Amino acid sequence: MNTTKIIKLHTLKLFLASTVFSCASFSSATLASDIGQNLRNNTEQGSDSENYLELGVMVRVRDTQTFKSSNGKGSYTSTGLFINGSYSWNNVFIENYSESGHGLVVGYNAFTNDDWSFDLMATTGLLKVSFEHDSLYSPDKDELMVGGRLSGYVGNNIVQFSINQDATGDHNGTTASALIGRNWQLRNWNFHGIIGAEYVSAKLNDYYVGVSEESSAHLDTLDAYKAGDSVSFSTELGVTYPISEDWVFRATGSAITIPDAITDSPRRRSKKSVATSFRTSLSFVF
Amino acid sequence: MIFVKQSKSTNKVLKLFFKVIFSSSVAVLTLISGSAVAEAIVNSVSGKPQNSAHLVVTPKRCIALRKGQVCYLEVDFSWQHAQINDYCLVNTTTSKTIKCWQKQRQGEFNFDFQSTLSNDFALRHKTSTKDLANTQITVAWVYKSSKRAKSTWRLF
Repeated sequence: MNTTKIIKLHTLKLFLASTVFSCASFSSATLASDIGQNLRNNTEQGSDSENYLELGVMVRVRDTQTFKSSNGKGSYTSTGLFINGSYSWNNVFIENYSESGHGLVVGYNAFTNDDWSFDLMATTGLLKVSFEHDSLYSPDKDELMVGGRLSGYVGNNIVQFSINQDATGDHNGTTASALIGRNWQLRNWNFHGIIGAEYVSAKLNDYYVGVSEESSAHLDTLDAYKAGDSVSFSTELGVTYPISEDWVFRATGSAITIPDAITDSPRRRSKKSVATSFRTSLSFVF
Repeated sequence: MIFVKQSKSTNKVLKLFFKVIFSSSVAVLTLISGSAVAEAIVNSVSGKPQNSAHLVVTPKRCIALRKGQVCYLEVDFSWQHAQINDYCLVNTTTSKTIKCWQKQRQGEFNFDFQSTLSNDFALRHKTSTKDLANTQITVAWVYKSSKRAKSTWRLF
């Protein structure tokens, strides 16, 4: 009986998500979007991001750290389904890019001109696909961050600055990031590269990997630990190829440093300082 | 008897009349059919140069990731014609001659297509602008703005 209810609940969630993105696929222009998506889809300067929906299947190879609270391996291969899509109406947009490392984003385009665009947005963990970024922290936490991002075209490069603040009240942590990327077209193959840095406040780090005195007293195996703020660096190289009008192939390799604030945590099981991943996918674009 | 004689003579007249009609009909039909055949031959001859010219390109479809991108496709053109002559393969979209052949009735050409839009191609006599045969390379995209232009749905 419980199994039936769970299946019905998942079916309902899937239906709602599908309905939202089905509607999203018939819409007007998005004024800005995730830098990675701009680069992967080779969006030209000044052009609108397209509202669309795509469903895909992916294979991931990941090598990262693990936490004592989970029994997961640091290096493994997995397969999964994902949804990418975007929709906007009167400068309000909703987007989900599984490669971005975060979940569903709802926002408002507050400013745009030929070279720059500024969005106010709320980032959730909904529809989030686990990638290397979330492996820094326990994946079972609810996420809701609010903030803004500034995207700009500087020469042939795209830059994006973003700042986000926790809105759940759980930790009141803050993140800030700066990314720069560009793409190259070689025949019909679209290559892209991104490098970036991300600052994470001590409150956020401590919420995920800290061990309070009380917890340490309860759990004899963990020493008390208070995490500080951190800066991590990331890079990504990828290629996108249009197989047909409806099918797209992607392959992406990425690496991110794991800061000392995380590696020093007694919650960590392994001692890796760099997380790497390779992902390949096949998407159907509606 | 007179009636009979008259009848016989009438029959002869009738027979003669039908023979004349029949012969005339046959003659007319023969003429008509003959002219039709002749006309068919004339049409065949006069239409032959147009109908016997063939221009084929493979593959015919180029897929780019996004609208506005240059699409790259290596294609093979193949053409043939009933008559030996000087022919040219022309990109009629850009009005550029791609390649010409002298005193040939067929030819093949490997071409590196690069364009943001669909292009039309034609086989022409070297000294003419009249298209003898046509073909097209279509450019299509995965992410195209026309999807939202057709929208009637709204999320909010």
